[in-house]
Amino acid sequence: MFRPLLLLGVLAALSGCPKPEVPDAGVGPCLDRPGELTRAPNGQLPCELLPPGFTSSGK
Amino acid sequence: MRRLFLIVFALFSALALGHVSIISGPGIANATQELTFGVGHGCAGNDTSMVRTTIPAGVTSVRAMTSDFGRATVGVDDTGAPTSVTWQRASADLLPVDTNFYKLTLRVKLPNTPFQVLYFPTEQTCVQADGGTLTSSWTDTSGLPPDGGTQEPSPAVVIVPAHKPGWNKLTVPVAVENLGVFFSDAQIVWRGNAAYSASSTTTELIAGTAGVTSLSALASGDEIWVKY
Repeated sequence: MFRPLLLLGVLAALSGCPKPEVPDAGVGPCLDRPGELTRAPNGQLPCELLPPGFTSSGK
Repeated sequence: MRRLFLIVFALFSALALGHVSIISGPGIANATQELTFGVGHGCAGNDTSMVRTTIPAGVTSVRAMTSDFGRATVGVDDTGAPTSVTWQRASADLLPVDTNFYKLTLRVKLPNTPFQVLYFPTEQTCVQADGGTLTSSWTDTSGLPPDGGTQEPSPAVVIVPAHKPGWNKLTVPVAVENLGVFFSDAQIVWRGNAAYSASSTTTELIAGTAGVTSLSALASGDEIWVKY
């Protein structure tokens, strides 16, 4: 019973058809509007946590 | 330094252990606001019949709210200044066992003393089954953690300067040795290129950012940027 479906799947893959959409686990808004949501830290302070007029010399 | 650490420990211990404590969070200097006392338990298994708190100097415009204990009474001195608030329950309202948590609220104006801890020494009275009374004294203002002795930690409120969400530029009027006491709800505090955060994640970012050092204490007169 499953063999025809399996065969169709193999043929689809070989023909370059797009894969079915997979749920994005809710990260869609991050990808669509990257500037509107807090991003994961990269090991350094993000710009929004630097005070007005900040310079690395502290002056 | 050690004393301030102990204050922090005592404040959080009071919350954790259900003592009589102020549970409404930091107070704002020179502002009128509500202070809520949490009564976590009675005395040795007996329900609480009365709570009496002392109003410290500098606190004005005291208004007591009616609570589960009924109407509260504000005591005043010869000049009319508020000195105490007493919540007394009717005997018929007392529970046979100590099962309930109570909130008692005041509206007060706090003094303009940011970066200080203000104590409200409090007496708690319970009625025993035989009609006798037990009293717990929440009157220790040393900042030491509970020791099971005759005095337990006094309810206290941490006074912070008025601020708004976003960046606030402040001048510190007194030395601040333990930033965690007064900046627990801030995202980050800056003095020059030194920064502090109560968040462990942000603290890691501070350590990982070139040109930024760790801020551990403030001196009187320091100018700081704080983001809430």
